[in-house]
Amino acid sequence: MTDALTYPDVVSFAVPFFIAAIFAELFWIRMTGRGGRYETRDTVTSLIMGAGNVAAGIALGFVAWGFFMVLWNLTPLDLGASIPIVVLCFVLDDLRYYWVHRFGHRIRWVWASHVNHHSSQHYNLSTALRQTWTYTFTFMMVVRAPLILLGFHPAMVLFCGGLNLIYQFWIHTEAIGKMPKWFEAVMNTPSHHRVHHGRNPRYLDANYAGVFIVWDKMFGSFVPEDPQEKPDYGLVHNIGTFNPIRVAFHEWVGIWRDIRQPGLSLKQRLLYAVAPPGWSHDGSRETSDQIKTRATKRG
Amino acid sequence: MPLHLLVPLVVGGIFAIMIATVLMGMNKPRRFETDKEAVYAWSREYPRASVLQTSLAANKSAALIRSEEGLGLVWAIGADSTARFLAGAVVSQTVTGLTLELPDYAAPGVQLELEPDEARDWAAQIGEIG
Repeated sequence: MTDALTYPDVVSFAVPFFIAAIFAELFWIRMTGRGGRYETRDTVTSLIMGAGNVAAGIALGFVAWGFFMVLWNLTPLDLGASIPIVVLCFVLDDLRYYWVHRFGHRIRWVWASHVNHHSSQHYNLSTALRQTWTYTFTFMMVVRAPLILLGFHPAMVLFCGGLNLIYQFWIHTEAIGKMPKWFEAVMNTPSHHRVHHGRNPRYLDANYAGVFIVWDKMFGSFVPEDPQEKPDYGLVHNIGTFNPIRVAFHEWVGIWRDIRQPGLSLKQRLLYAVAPPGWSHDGSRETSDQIKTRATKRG
Repeated sequence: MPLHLLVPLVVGGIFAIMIATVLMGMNKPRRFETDKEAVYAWSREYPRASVLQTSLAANKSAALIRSEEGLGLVWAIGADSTARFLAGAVVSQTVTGLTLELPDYAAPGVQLELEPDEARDWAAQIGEIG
């Protein structure tokens, strides 16, 4: 059994590249007058969220790592660390990412962690770094369990997850229109991911892919970018704060307030935590499905 | 990457990017040039709440919206906008206008710069429903 496998922490090594790329995008927008928008406080908030995500990983990473090592010690399988196995791990971990991301939009408990990534009304490279501080509390690390049990070493799985995150950085831009057709067909691209960040009814809950857009095509969640309908970025109800603490925790607070409402049944309290975002016991709010239906009826 | 390198890199990077955006003039706040623009921004948040009346602030940073579903506010946040209904809002007068405390963790309050007459009028309207 490969116990002492180690890989570089690719995300921290990518930090200088992230900073340089943001500068490049800023100068491109400034010089050409197109390719997106930046706003100072929005950008700083996004960057602080990114730094907080790294800090949360350092502080709470032991939880997922401990869980993975328990599984690793349980499984009799060990696929080793050859290049083909790393490539296979990367592809399967991207499938894992697709489902975690989909859960992140369809289960409010997971959305509470992921919502902050969508809380900017801008779409630029700094938005890519607007990451969660509370992922550990979603318990979505369990979705990686099959990979570990199949014999992929936990260090390799986390390494592939880091590469996945780095890939997703460059697609958070309006400076790139479309990539070549073959690339758009297989890979997640700025165009596909702009759709994912759109709050337009037709773009809600679409394009969950991390690296390979084929998962969305396979599982029926792919929506192409319509040149006639520019994505309107942000949340269905946009937040009114740049305070990173509020950005990080606002949906958790929302869940807490909702489940404590007087007069609810136990089932209703539970549904406020696990039903799709926008669900309410009295129908006073709208889920993304209801928003889409209303928009379709309106034509 | 060791923390003694990562921390200064991250802090320095954030600071440098912040300065660059300021120098490039990317810190200008949103302004609603017309009532129509304010209503459009309101409708982004509440497409089902038909607008009956709009009062755009003199400095164009916010608008009081009277809709079929109640009184609301749309306001500039950075280069963008957001909106909320004002039920449960606590309003207090300041030297430069009004402060609104909202019962919403994701939008906890708004500082409104208003003309003195405007501030009195808005405070009276918001006070009625607060």
